[in-house]
Amino acid sequence: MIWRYRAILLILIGIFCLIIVRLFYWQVVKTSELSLLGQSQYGRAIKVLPQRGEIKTSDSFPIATNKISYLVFANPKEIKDKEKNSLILSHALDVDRASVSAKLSLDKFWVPLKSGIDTLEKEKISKLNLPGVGFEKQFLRFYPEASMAAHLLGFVGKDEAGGDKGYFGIEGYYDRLLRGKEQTAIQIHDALGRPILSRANENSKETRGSNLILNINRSIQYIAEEKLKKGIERYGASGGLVGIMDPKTGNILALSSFPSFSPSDFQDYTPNLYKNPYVSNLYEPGSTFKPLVMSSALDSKLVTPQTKCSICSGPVSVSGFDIRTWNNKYYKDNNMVGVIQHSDNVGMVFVAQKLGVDRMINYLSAFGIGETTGIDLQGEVSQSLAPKELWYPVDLATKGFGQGISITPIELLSATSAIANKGVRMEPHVVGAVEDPNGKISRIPPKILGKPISEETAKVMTEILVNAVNKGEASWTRLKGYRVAGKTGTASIPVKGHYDPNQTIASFIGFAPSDNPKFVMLVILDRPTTSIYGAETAAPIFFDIARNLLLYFGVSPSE
Amino acid sequence: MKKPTFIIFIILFLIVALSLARVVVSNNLSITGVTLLKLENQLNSYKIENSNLREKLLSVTSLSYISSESSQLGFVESKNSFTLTKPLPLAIKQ
Repeated sequence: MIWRYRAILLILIGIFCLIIVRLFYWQVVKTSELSLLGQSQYGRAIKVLPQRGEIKTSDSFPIATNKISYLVFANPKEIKDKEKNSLILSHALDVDRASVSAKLSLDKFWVPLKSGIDTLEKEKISKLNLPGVGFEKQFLRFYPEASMAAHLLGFVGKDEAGGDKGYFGIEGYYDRLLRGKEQTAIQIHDALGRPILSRANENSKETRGSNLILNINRSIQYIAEEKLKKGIERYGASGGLVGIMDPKTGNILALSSFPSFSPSDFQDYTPNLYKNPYVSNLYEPGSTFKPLVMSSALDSKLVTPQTKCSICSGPVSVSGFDIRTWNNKYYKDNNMVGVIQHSDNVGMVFVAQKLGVDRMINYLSAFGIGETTGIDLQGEVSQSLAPKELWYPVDLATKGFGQGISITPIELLSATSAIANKGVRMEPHVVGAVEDPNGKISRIPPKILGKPISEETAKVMTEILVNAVNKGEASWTRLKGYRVAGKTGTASIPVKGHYDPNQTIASFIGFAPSDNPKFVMLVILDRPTTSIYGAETAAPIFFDIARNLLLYFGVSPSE
Repeated sequence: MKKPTFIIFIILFLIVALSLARVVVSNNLSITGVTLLKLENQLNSYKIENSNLREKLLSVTSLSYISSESSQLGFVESKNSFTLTKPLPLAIKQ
C-alpha cells in the first residue's frame, strides 16, 4: 500500500511543480505582455501633446505664447444626409462646399475639416448638433505683440509628420527645447467606456516645453521698430535694419528688420522674407568698417591719432585703380582723427598699407570678421576672409575703407562692441534664461570671445569716434549734451561687376554714452532714395532711437 | 442543537451584510465615473475660460495696443526732455 501513497504523492508534487513553472512563465516571463493586454481591457492610451514653451521678453511678457483652438473633424460613416450636412458645414466653417462634400464622401472613419477654430466658432458649430462631427483641442501660436520681432522669433510650421516645428529665428534654434516631450497617459474606463479613475502615468508638468526668457527689452524693441518704420518711409528706402546690443554682456536688446512678416500668418508671405537679414545677409559695410581697421593700426602702434597721412592730398592709385574720397575733397597732412572725421578713403588706404596684409587678417579675425558670431538664432552665415595669397594690393587698400569685404550686420555690431567694451568682445546672445517645465530657471552667463585690442586703444578709438560724431558729416543730427561715439557709412552696391553710384546701403554705427556705454547700435537703410548718404538717412534714425534709449536708461546729459 | 443554529444565523447575517456592503461600494464606484467626467468637463471649461481671458489680457497689455489707444486719447510723443540734476564731476580742476 505504501508504494501507492508514494506514487500519488509524487504525482501531486509533479502537478504542483508544473503549476509553479506555468505561473513563473506567466508572471515573470510574460509579465509585460500580459500587463499590456490587461491595460488594453481596462483603459486606453491617450497621446498628450506637449504645449509649446513660451518666449518671453526680459520683462517676462510672453511675445510668443499658445492659445486654444480646435480642429473640426467628421466621421463620414455616421453622416447620412451628406449633401445637406456639407452645405451646413461649409457655411459654418466658411469653407468651399465642394471640398467639404468631397471629404464627407470618403470611405473613412475620420476626416479633418478645418483647423484653427476658436472657442466661439466651436460653440456655434456644437449648437448645430450635427451627427458625426467632433472637435479636437489644439494649441495655436499666439503673438500678443502681433508682428513685433518677427525675424527674431521665426515661426511655427509643420514637419513631415504633421507635428509642430519651429523654423528660423529663436523658434528654429531652440525648437527641441520649446517643443517638449510627447507623453502617453492611460485613461481607465468602465464597461461603457466612461472614465472611472483619473489618468494614470500622466505628469502634466512634463507635457510642456521649456520657456525662454530673452534679453530682448520689449520697450527698446518697440521704440526701434517704430523709429525704423518711420525712417524707411521718410527716406524712401526699400528696407532697413536695427540691432541694439549691451556691449558689456553681449545681450541683444533689440533686433528688427523690414520688410517683415507676421509669424501667425507666415504662409501669406513670400519665403524670402523669413530669413533674418541681420544674421543671414552679407553686405559691404563701407565706412562703418573704418573704426575696426583704424583701431587695429592704433593697437599695433603703427599710427597714433596725430600721425599725418602723407598721401591724403589727392586721389591715390593702387595697382592701376584710382581711389578717391566720397566727396572728392582732399585734406593734405590730415591726421588719423581727421581721417575718421572726414571719412577719408585715401587716409584709410594709408592706414591699411601701414598695417599690411598679415596684421590686417590677424586683427580682423580677432574682431570676429569672417566667422559666425555664435548668436543663438537660426540661419547665421559668414564669409571667410580670403587667404593671404589672394590679398592683392588693391584688396588691402579697398578693405581698409570697407569695400570688397562682405560681412553680416551682426558681425559688425559684435566687432564694434569690443571698442565700446574696453577692447573685450562678448558673444551676442538673444536668450538670457531657460525656464524648465518645473519652473527652474537656468541663466545663460555672458561669454567673452576675445580681446582684439587693448583698453587704451579702445579709449583712443572712442575719442576719435566721439569727434567724428561732433564734427563729422552727421553732426547736424547729433544729440546735444551727450557724448556719443559713432561712424556713418555709405556703401555702394556691387551690381554685375561694378558699383552702382545711385544705389547705396546707408548705415550708422555707434554707442552711448561713450564713457560708460549702455548700448551699441547699428542702423542700416537699404537703397534710400531721398539721399544716398548714411549721414543724411541712417544717422538721424540712429540719434532718434538713441535719444529715446538714453531717456529710457535715465542717462543725464554730460556736456 | 442550539449552538449550530446560532452559528448558521451568524454566517447568514454576515453573508447578507457583506452582500449589502458590496452593493453599496459597487454602486458608489459605478457613479464615480460619471461624477469624475462632470468634474473633468468642468475643469476643462475653466481652463478654456482662463486661456481665453489670458489671451484678452495679453492683447490689451501689448505695447502696440497701448500705443494705438494712447494716440486715440490724444497723447503725443514729447520731443523735449529736461533733467533735474547733472552728474557730478569726478574731479574738479583747481
